[in-house]
Amino acid sequence: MTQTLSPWARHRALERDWGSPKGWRSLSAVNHTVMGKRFMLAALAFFLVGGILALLMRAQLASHDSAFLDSELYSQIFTMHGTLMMFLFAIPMLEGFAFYLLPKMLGARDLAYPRLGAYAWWCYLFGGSILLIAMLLGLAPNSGWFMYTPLAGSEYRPGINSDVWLIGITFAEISAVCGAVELVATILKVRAPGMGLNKLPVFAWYMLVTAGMILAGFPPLILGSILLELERSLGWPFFDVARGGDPILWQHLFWLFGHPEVYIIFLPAAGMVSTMVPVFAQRPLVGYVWVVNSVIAVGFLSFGLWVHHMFTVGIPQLGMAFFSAASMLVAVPTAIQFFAWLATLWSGTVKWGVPMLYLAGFLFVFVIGGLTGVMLALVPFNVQVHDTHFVVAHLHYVLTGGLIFPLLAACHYWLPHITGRMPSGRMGSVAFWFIFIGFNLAFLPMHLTGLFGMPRRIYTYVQDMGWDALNQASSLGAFIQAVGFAIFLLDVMLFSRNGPLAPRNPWKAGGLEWAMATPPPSYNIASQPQVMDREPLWATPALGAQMAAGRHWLAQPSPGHRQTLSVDVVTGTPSAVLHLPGPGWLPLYSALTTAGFFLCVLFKLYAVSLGFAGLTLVLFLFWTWQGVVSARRITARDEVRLPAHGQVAGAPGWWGMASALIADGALFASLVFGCWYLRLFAPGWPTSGWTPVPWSMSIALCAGFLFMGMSAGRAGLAAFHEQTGRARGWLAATVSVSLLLLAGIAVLAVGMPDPTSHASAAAMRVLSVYMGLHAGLASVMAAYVLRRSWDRRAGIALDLSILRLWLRYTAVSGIVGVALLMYFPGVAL
Amino acid sequence: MLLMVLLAVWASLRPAARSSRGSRAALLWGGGVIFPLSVLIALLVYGHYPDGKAGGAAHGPPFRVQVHAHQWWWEVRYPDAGPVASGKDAPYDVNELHIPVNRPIHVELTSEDVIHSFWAPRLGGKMDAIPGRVNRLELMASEPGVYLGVCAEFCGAQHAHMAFRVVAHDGPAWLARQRPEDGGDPARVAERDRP
Amino acid sequence: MIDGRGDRGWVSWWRDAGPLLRVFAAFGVWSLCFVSLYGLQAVLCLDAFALSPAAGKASLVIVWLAYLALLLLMLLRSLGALRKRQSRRYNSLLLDEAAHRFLRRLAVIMDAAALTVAAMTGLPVVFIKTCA
Repeated sequence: MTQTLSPWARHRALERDWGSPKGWRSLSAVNHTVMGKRFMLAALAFFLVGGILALLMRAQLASHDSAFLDSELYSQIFTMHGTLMMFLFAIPMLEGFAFYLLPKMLGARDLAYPRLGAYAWWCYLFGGSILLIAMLLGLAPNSGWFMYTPLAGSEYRPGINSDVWLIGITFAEISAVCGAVELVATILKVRAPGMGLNKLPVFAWYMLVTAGMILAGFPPLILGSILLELERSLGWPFFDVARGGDPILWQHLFWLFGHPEVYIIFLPAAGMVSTMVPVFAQRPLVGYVWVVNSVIAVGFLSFGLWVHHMFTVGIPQLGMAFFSAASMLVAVPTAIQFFAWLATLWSGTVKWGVPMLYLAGFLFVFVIGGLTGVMLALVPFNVQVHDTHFVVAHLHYVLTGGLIFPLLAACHYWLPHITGRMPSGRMGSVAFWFIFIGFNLAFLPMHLTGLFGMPRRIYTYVQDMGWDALNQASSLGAFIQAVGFAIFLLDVMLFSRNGPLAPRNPWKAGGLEWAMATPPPSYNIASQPQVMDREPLWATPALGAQMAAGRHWLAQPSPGHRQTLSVDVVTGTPSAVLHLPGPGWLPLYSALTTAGFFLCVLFKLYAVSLGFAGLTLVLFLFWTWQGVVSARRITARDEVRLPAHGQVAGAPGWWGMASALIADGALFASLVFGCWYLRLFAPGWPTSGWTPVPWSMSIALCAGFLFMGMSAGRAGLAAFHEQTGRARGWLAATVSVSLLLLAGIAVLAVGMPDPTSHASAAAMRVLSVYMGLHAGLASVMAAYVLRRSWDRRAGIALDLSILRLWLRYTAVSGIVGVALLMYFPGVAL
Repeated sequence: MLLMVLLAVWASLRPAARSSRGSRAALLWGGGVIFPLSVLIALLVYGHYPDGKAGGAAHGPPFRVQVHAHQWWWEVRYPDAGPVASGKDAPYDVNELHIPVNRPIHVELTSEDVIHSFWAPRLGGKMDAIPGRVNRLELMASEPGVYLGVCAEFCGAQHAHMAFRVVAHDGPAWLARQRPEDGGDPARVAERDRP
Repeated sequence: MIDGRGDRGWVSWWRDAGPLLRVFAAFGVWSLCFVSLYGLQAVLCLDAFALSPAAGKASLVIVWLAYLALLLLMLLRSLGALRKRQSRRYNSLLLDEAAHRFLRRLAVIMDAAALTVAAMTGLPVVFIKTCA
């Protein structure tokens, strides 16, 4: 009953369904291969700008009392260099690689949320552009890439510069969080059949942990940015000492993000190393379970290090000791990964090539960076070299060693996959030596420069400090390094077009991504393989041909539908067929309205910005409405029929909401932390102008939240038993209760003291807005599901399970919020 | 940590039991494993070892200095300067500290505006001056002389030019102040400050 | 025609991903331990708290040991689970079982690592003054 197609006919049918539109319509593309490449190209552009800024800085610092740049321009340049590199290059570049590689490595046809990925890219592009355009207009942020208050506040930086940073970066962070949500759902659910967690490619483990870290680590900064923007534009004090704020709160919130951020940057690169080293040693990775263990350990440990950026702030010794101990301990899982790589190389046959050169460079540079990191973890040493060029040297060693070298290796390694052509061995080696020598010449002397007392972020220095020769060496090294990058880029650009055609699997790797044609077709693979090993291509060299011939799962294209399999999390047993959306304009439109919202906030047009926010919400609702799937079962393989994804619990949509709620919860936890921090440690507390929340109001609110928490469960139960009327009743009740909650919170907020008067009032106002927003969104979502229940095409089971998540989260956070409102401002100690 | 390190070594020793090929890897192995490991352990021990105290019974009583940081200069006052510590004759310095040698100096750091950081590298570590709080830093000069210091936290346009000097004095002239009636004669200053 | 999975209706996320989340649990507990120690230390050193240094130190040590005990308990349980040859799926294939065994092994390693890390990060409580 299944017609047998020829491979060519199958290819044409799949390409027709999966292909991205051409020409200007390609703006509506959502395919992961396209989005991955776009992320990488945009990140490369930002990297080049950041690199030029670095060269400008080195030109300025090459000699004492240089008149090349003045203080103001220099402060914009060093701020933008850090911001561009950390936010607009590092993470998006790695995201691009992950988007491109993961579905292929996992044996799937696309990521779990193609449209969300497209939206993430547009948000990144618009957010980054805001920063770049501001820089070209001379309005770049100028308080350092970590924007310490009060310098970044409205009193000392009254212009639009800091707002550009706050808003542009928040926009880019939304992109990263969306990417993380997508990655979690994809890695857990969208894999080839049989690929259980024990067979997961190690890069996928790294990305899973990284995505989790993004979900937990970005929200503190998003919250901090929101609070600082509120302080700058509306005057709500959070960091202003005179009105009950504390500048150290910003530092805590920033570094709660900032430290995990550097591991978010390092882990994917280490994942690439873990993928490439076995190939160049021609044997599987040694100690797979140990590597997975250490990746997860690093992921968690990295959240316990943040105060080591604040050792000179005046924190008690015991507190600092916890962070000092944790900072040293984090070296151990990293060392385990190193042992694993070295052991793999030792017990294999090392094959040299340009990627291997870069990997060797990585080993050398990163270990040095790690050692200086351990030195910095010691408080007595830290208080000497904190905020000097020693730290600059350290951070560049770990970032260049830990990110750039693996990235360059990865570019060279996967270029045949992306372009179908082999890069040059000779040019690649020359580029490597220029970069390696230039880098060490630039940054090794910087350790000494810092030890000799040169602080960070100074635009010039006087002659008799003894820093001249070292700075000259550093500047020379920076330019040599730049030449190396130029050669590398030339190599990539020339050989992408004109290089020799790459053979199938040129590096003889074992990963699934090499089992397809290169450059890959839009649909990746004609049929999804049954995976039984960690390195499928080494176990079954003919796998690629088998997949192309349609001998595995989902070999039968379904016209008009993009299909891939959804599997069990642990075992990889296929449980449903996932229908993925094709190209569409909604991601672009939603990103445009989101950009409109942010730009209005930037230019202080608050009423208009609310309009844009509403428009964005409407577009999101349209977006969700479109993802409807029929209820029939689909033939996944000769004798196996699977339901469509909406019919099965734990669908990717559910995981997406769960991941988003992790991020939301991290934001809320940071807010609760911020409130308590200010209450206990800010100099201007307690406050006398606190009006207690009436008991009746709190009880009413809590009751409303409790009702919300259980209503979706009841609706789901009713829907399961086919009692549609009852389900609709519960949903309608949810809508009304949510609206009542929203009204109640609004009444409460109006009765609070003026938020510009004291940090307590501002904090309470932010809490109420948070709770109100969630209650409001709950009513919108419940109304949406209610409307959907009249849609005959499919059931609402999945929608209800997703709604249930949101309502329960809102209930819990709402009750915590009410308790906080009642107690924290006036708690007598 | 030792447990984890042992586990890691055990894991990597397993494959070495099979035939090891690739002699280049041996160099990486020795350099990449033994070297960091020994350094890590040494540093861990060193870091947790209580450092020798700079102040002790052999040195004099602590001397307080109040440093109030501004954009972009340092205001220095001396609450322990004896009978002239307050009032219009109170000793007051800008971008300079005058301290006695061999006495623990307790610097009380405050800030007028943004976060600055007080750092005299040859005398001790740095400490941030943060608006709204008083941070304390302990320094000691064991030899008389002039020690240079810088501001070590980016504080705006002239952050690079916010240097200061710490002058350590031996003997009773440590709180020497020039006044117009001195006519530039240090002996008159010494005479005035003799207790 | 064999109908694939899914006709069992709602299988909760716990059964789907529970073993994976169990792997993360130990370090989740470590995170709580870390935050508790740091937070308690910060609060104890506030002027408003009139606890004697000895009482403050004792409370920190108790919190630390409590978390260590919890982590030890988790480690013992996961060790026990590793020894038992459990077949958790109604149609467990050999390959399915391998995946579950892998996760059980990973859970033991993670629990041991979290216990070690919690012991090391809490150790300063013993020899550093609470509010120096």
